[in-house]
Amino acid sequence: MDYRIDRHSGIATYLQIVQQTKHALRLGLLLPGDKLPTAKEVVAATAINPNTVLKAYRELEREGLVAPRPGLGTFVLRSLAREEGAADSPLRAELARWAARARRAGLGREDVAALVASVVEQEFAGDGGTGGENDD
Amino acid sequence: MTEPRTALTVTRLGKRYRRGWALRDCSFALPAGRICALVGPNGAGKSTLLAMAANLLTPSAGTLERPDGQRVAFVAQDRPLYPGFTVAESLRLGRELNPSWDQAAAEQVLAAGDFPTSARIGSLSGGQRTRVALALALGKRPDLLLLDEPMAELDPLARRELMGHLLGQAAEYGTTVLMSSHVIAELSEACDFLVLVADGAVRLAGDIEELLAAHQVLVGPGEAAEWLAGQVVVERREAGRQLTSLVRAAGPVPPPWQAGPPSLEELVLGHLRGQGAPALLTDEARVNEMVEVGG
Amino acid sequence: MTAVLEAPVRRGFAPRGLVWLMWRQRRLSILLWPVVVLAAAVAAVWLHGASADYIRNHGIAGCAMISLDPACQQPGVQESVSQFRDSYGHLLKLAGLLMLLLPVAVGAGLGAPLLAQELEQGTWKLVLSQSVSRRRWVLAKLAGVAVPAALGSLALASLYRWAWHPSANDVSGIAWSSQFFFSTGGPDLVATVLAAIGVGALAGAVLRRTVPAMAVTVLLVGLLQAGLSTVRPYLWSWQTMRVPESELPNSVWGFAHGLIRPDGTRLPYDGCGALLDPGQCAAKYAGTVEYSDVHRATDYWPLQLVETGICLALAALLTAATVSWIRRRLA
Repeated sequence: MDYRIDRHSGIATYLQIVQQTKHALRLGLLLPGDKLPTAKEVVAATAINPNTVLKAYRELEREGLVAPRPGLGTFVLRSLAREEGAADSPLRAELARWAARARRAGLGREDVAALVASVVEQEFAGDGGTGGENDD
Repeated sequence: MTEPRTALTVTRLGKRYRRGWALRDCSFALPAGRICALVGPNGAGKSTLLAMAANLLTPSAGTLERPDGQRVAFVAQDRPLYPGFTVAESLRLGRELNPSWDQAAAEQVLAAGDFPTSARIGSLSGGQRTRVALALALGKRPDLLLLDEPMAELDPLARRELMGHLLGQAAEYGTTVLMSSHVIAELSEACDFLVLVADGAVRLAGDIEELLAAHQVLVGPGEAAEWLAGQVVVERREAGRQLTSLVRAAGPVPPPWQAGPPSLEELVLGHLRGQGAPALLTDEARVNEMVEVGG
Repeated sequence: MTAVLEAPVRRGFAPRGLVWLMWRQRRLSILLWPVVVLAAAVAAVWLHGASADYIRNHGIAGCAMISLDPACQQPGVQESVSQFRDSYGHLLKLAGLLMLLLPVAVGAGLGAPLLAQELEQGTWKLVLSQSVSRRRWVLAKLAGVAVPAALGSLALASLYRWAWHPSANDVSGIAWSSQFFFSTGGPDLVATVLAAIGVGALAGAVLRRTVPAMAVTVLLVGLLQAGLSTVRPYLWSWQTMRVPESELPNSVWGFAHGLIRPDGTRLPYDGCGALLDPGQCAAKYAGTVEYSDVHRATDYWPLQLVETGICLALAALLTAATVSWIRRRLA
């Protein structure tokens, strides 16, 4: 797990860690039983305050996603990955075929992303979610 | 071992030189395990405060209290090292003079350096000397680490790497860090505690989030200025008909004011530009001055 | 990650802690002493041998330019003594002069920069940021200079004493009481060197700058040596001999002379001013004889030890003052 802190995003640093962890859980990059990097490792790689990392981990713990094991580290309790979102799921394969078609049709990376975003926007309009925070 | 609650307590501390007071009536407490930014304009007394905390300067007034047996390491702004020594010999100095010496901790700081340990200190650049000085400080395995402008002469890459290493060590050993800087941006991610000194006195001290939460940046029309009269105004600036103000509002902010949280930089700069507001210390940072009367 | 930092340390000599630091910082000046002593030893062996040979070959042992001993009144003796003084005696005097400058050189060259350099370059902050008390640091620094200097100057004083011995007092004309020998051929030299280091260290601590501290040290150590040679005769009880200066035996140190009345009143030689008329003057000097205040050769050791004690006490006092200054007044 490698956290990337964007100092100019305006999002609190601890929230960035929470979000990136959830993102990894969602994509199956982190699985139950996996160990999160220690605060020391995160801090050494990102030069952020150790207490910020601990705060983020406490938040993840509060949400029941991870649990500390004293003396060993912090471990993932459950995944956020959905079968439908896994790398070999039919939905993903369908989307991959569609993306390839879009590309053949001459659309660029940004055109495709904008198209997907607008469809997602239309589809989920009215849900009031903050972009996937309501995964529980 | 019970963790001491406070790593450093400064009470009505003052230092007078021939040309006048460099620091005066300075009080704050630094809880153990915090990474504290000591911020202020040049000549505000930051170096004087650090040198007194390191026992290298004797206070002219007031007291400094540290827990018994606390190990303190200090990296002075001029990075004093013997120019004729090699890097390895400089580390050996630390090993010979400190019973708590951790050679591995010191060597880790040097590992990313682009110079051999056989190099003479006199032949190193400012940034390289900073690395050696930091290695000496971390090799001491301090409980309290005092750093005077630690990042001043480092390139951005080394700055990030050394700060990360430093914070990693602090995370591992629960080290309290007090570091001065006049570049606020480089401290905002690394630090969770702030002491702001200006004109020799403490203006702000406490947990950064708590301090930020106690302030609002207000933007509104000039005609609305009347409401500000009842508030603690740190700074106000007028640009045309628009008024921008940093305040410590007592209650909800009424329209037409638009309120937003300040950034650390806005908070610090606001307090440096506007001198009117009283000093603000959070509960953690406050010292019970009744204990100490006079100096 | 794990770089090998350790330079191979020579077996047998592995100093620890502050001793290591002192050795590392001062190894050049420490190693200078054996070099100087070795050079002095070579010179002393040669001078001792050559002097003894000359004196034996010319049969002038115990003879000064003018001696009462009939053996010294043989023809040619005076000429040989004079020739000795112009050659070997001259070298001996020159060596004595260099030895006389030793306290000034050590005080200004090693004592003054000791702390001044650390204060000037800010490196005192490095050392005092480690787990070392100010008192221990200052004492270690002083010891790092004082111990080699004491051993070195003791060796030099012994060598000088040995080289002086064949021509002592009479042939060379360098008496035991002469400034050239008294201050250089005994423990007094060691003690003066230590006091000079103390002067230099304190000057450096107070002035915080090397060059001014060196200048002040030269001045103060010079004054100390001049002062000591002024008070020297009064450091141990002396005798008054009713003998004019010119008639004193060579082995006796006459340091004050004048006229004395039968009742014991002392008069200076030039007591008769122009204002007195001759009659009054004659009356004043009626019955007076010339006298000399003297130390005999047996007074050498008491005088030497008292002066050594004074210098050692001064060195101790200066050490305490330096420690106290660094502890209380530094910053």
